[in-house]
Amino acid sequence: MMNYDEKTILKELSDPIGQRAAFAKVVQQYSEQLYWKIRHIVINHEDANDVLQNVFIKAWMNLEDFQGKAKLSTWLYRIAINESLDFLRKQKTQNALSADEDLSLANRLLADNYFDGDEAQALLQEAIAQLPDVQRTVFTLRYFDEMKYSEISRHLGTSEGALKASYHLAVKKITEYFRQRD
Amino acid sequence: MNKEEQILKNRFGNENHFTVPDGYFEQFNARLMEQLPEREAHVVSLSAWKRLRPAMMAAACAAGVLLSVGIYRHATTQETKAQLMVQTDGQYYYDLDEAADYMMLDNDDIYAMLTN
Repeated sequence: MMNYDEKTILKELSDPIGQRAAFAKVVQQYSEQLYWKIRHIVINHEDANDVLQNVFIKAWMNLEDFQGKAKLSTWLYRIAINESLDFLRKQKTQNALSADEDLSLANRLLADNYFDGDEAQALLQEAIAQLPDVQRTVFTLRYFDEMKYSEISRHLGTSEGALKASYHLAVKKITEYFRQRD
Repeated sequence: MNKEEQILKNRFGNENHFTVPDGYFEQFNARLMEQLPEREAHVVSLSAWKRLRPAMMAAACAAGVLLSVGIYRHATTQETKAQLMVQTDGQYYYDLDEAADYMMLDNDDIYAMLTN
């Protein structure tokens, strides 16, 4: 297990000579946890891989923007969520232009090698995908990652009250989605 | 947890059913570092005031220390002067050491202090 000390890493990141080695430690420390946040939002493994790469490249190219006022993880999570939301927006535009979406999301997931859930799990993902992008993000962070509202608030820059309202609305919509199916 | 959320969790759970290829994360880290572009050596530029502020703080501290030591030494009587000479010289050097410590703070420590 790598010894990761944020204070030391931040010092090394500010030194042009040791910067790359320090950033490698950051990637090692955060890649997996960021990946799962992204994956829950964008669903597909290849897409999550692309977004995760973009997150770290963006962080690397904009190290000066990190002023050390918040934790490094908060800054990285914020980039990851913004990149995921950007990806969803671009995906929606592309889907609107192409007529290729014959299979429902649930059926595509069941055929996906990197999804091991059953039909119910696949339908749940389909229901979540119907939510507006930010609400979908709030729901996945709270429901699957069991993140505290205070933490989500730091990552999204939204008030806890607004997040609670968004989450409860998402739960209602998903419940209604299955009520209509059943 | 409200009733509807409980119903969802009872029906679907909240486990992660997404998976990744074997060795994905180990390979990802290595691949990413290969792709990372070179960065130009970049000095974070601060406004003149922000740049000078740490040095000015250190100079103000040193001046204050030296001034108070000077006043203290001047205020002592002749009788105890000889005795005090030994003590105040020690104090003088101690205070100078403290001032020197302040002046020897490196930029990162000062920036961290300013941003906390």
